[in-house]
Amino acid sequence: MTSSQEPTDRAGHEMDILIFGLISASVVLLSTVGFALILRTEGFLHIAHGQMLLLGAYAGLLLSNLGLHIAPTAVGAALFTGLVGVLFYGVLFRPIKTRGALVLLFTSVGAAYVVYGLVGAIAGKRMLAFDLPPVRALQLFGQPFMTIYELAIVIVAIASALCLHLFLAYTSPGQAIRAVSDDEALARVRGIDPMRTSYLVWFVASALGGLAGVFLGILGSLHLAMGWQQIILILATTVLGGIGSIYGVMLAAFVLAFGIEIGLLFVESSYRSGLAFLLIIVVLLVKPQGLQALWGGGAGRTH
Amino acid sequence: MRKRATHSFGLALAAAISFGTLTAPAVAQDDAVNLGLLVGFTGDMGPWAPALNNAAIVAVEEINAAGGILGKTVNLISEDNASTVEGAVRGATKLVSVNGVSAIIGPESDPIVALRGFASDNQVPVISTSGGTEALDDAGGTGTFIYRTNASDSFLGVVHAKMLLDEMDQKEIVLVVENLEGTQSAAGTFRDAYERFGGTITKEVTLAPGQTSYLSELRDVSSAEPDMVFLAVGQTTGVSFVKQAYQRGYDWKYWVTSDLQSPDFVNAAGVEIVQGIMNPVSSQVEGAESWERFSAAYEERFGEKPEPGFYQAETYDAFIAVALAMEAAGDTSGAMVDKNLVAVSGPEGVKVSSFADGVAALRDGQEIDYEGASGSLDFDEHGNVTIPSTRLLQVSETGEWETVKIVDSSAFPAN
Repeated sequence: MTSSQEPTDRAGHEMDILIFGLISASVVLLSTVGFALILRTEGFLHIAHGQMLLLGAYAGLLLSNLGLHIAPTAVGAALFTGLVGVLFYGVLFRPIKTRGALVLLFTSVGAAYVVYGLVGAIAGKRMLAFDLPPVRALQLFGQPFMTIYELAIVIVAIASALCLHLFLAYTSPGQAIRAVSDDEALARVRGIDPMRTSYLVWFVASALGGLAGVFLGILGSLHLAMGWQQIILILATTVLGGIGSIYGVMLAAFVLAFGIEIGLLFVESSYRSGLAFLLIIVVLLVKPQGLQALWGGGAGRTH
Repeated sequence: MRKRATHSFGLALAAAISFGTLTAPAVAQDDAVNLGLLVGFTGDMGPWAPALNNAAIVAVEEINAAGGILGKTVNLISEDNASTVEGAVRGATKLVSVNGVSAIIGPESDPIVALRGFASDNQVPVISTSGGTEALDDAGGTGTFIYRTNASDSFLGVVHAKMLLDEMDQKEIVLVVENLEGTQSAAGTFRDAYERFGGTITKEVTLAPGQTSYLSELRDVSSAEPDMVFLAVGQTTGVSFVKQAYQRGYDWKYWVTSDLQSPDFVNAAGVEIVQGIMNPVSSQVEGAESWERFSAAYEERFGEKPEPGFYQAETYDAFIAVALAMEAAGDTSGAMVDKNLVAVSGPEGVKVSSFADGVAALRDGQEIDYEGASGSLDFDEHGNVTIPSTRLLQVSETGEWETVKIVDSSAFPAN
């Protein structure tokens, strides 16, 4: 069905694929990057990250309903979620860090249900939404381009990925994070305090998750299942990128989003999820280490 | 995906059945009758579930006020099925094994389809009050333990088609359907009926559930340059779709299934975007005695009238019919409800429109025909009913679902 476009429509269509892919990739990127950061530094699958999106979205709704403009709302929700992430680390994960990845994983699943239950108990079970005036997409060369919100999410997602890269590569706390994640004992010997870097990681990762939640709420609606829905996508993106690689995950978000948009030219849209998993299977068959194998990552990593 | 889900569900079901049969007798009580309401308090059914629960409360309180079933007090046990197959199996298992309920009322399309084996294996009737799926068109009836008190999608499909063609003069439409059991069923029956009566579906687009953006799909719809779009989608997907369509400058008219007929949908999408959206719902004939009785009782108890299209009357009727079946049998077991449910629903027998009247007639040794608040409630051999009239609802400028027209649908073909 999708392949029967008029030839004259072609250029516009390619433009659309670019725009649609960019928007989808940004949502995935912002949702996943915090998860990948925790996986890289703490070495376990933080399932509760999906619920951080839920928490961020609902915290944002609370602020927005208090009359706050949507921009400070997003920042406030991100800060709040970041602090909850820090609290989680301090109370839940730090004390059991020595018990291994599986114990951490199960604790995270438990934490996910607690957040899910609390949000449901406080906010109620019905679908909600941000009270924003309806907007039309901005025009570019006479064609609808993106809405102001979609543009914001693309900019924020790419900026946060870029900042994360600069932070990890060029600042001393960033280098400390990388040092701790590669070899905690060695980092300790070199005078790095692993605990302080961990708190920082949890704050940044959770705050990004909260921000992603607010954007998801703006693009669609707020409902209790959004965290669970998103964690599946997050896990898939992480596997595609290569487990434990932040850059791999960044690339994976774009490969996945554009792969689906291009794939939809040839198959019906009901196969969206099928396309995503087909892409992952193909990549893993060729490069079992995920996309990070493109630059030699993952070869010697044990987690 | 679907296959995997079915497989894991099958395992869960197997576990559920063995667990249920082991423990059910131990918890059954002699002095009370437990009836379960199993609906999606969370998930897609969320906006309607509290209303269904209220309807169940009205029914149970009315039964208890009339002396209970065979002198026993009725307890209502409400359980969330999260509007999903997994939730339905978990919830039904809990209701049967922990609460020892004699009947489970309420499950929607996907949930009741999943409970078919569960119902007959545990000898517990499962009665849907909102599930329209075609899968139940010939799956239920005496012996199967499966019933429903709302009209099938195959009938609703005819209603949609007739209303669009005869009342709206809409000969062409684009069909957008979400890939779920309930919405696929609604779309399928509509497609059959619409094309049979002379309408043309110019394009059909399927939406994958739970996506953030439907921009490619929107583009696909727009290529057919539709005047009106028929939306058979769930709530969260519906909000994303209409919102993103508006943002891209597509100002289509929408005709929706009952899945979107809620205030939550209007609030989440924004009144400006959804005003004018239309949805036909089946309803009791205006002024029918049984409806007026129920409506007054509901309003007195909860301070608001029951809403058309919210399946409150259907839920109320299911409870009353089950109670009457128990009275007729002189036994409160699920097996006896299954044997007697069709008989007490009519069409033969003395017409009764309340539990008390029904009990009185039964004690006189008469056969009864319960006339429900939702309609005549005459179960056919497959446990299905038909609905006498259709109400066309439209979202007003202030965001209310308002009745714009009531059409006699009793002459519409049944499917």
